[in-house]
Amino acid sequence: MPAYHLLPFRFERINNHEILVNEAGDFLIVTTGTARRIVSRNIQPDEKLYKDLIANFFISEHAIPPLIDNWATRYRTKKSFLDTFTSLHIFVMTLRCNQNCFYCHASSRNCEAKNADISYPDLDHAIQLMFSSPSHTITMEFQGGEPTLVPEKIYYAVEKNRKAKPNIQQTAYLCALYKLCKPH
Amino acid sequence: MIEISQTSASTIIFSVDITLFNNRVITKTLYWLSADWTIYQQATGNVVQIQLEKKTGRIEAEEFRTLKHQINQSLIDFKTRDIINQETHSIRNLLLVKAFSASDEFDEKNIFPDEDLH
Repeated sequence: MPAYHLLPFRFERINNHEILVNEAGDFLIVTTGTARRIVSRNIQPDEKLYKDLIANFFISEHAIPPLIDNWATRYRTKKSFLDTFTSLHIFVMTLRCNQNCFYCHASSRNCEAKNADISYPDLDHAIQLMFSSPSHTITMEFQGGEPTLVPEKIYYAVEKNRKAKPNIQQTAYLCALYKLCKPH
Repeated sequence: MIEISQTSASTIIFSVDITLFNNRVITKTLYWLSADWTIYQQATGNVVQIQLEKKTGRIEAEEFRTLKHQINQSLIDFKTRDIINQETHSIRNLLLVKAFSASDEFDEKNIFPDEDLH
């Protein structure tokens, strides 16, 4: 029986497979029964899986993995959001879209839909909520629908942020299909 | 494999040996059934007898087959998770301490002096 040590991980069955997730959030998709094999020390050192499990901190040949400092750094990075809480804020500027691609996850409406854009009072309130986060870096992501259908509100939001909190590092992302947008 | 029997149109019964599956494992298994089933437990020595009563409707044959499979699978899965948690409790604590302590402030050799560290 191989003399490896277990490291903390979780597993869940997905269809006919298992997903193993370690403390740093890395995962492996394996055949059903693998978690049980790992715990029963039935993974052999000459198996490819054995090397994958070692490399991804699921098992270790030592009581304490030699690379525990790297592992701890990865863990700290993974949990870094705990230092300053939420920094990414997503704003759905409109539900309207000029494309309505069949694969899109958004619940888009057609370009002429009424009452589908965010109102200025709602936008103000959302910005106020965003700045209630203690994070020193704020990322504002504009989504839709197609957010460039309401460019004036994007300019408004970005400008309002700059004036309201000039000392906070701010980044704005636009999720849009630029080439397909109608010219404004 | 746990033997599970249907005792009425809406009730099933089975027994679990707690030397095989401890109370944590049994509780986690039953938790996921509690939305649709009323759960009764009675412990006698090392055996816990469990009765599940369906909250609404009758138990269909297919549902019974699925439930038997689900209960047996969940017991094994939660036992496996329980073993992982128990065996990795110390190393997980060590990882957290190393991850969130100031650099060089913590040395695992002071905590695990007898371990074959590397």
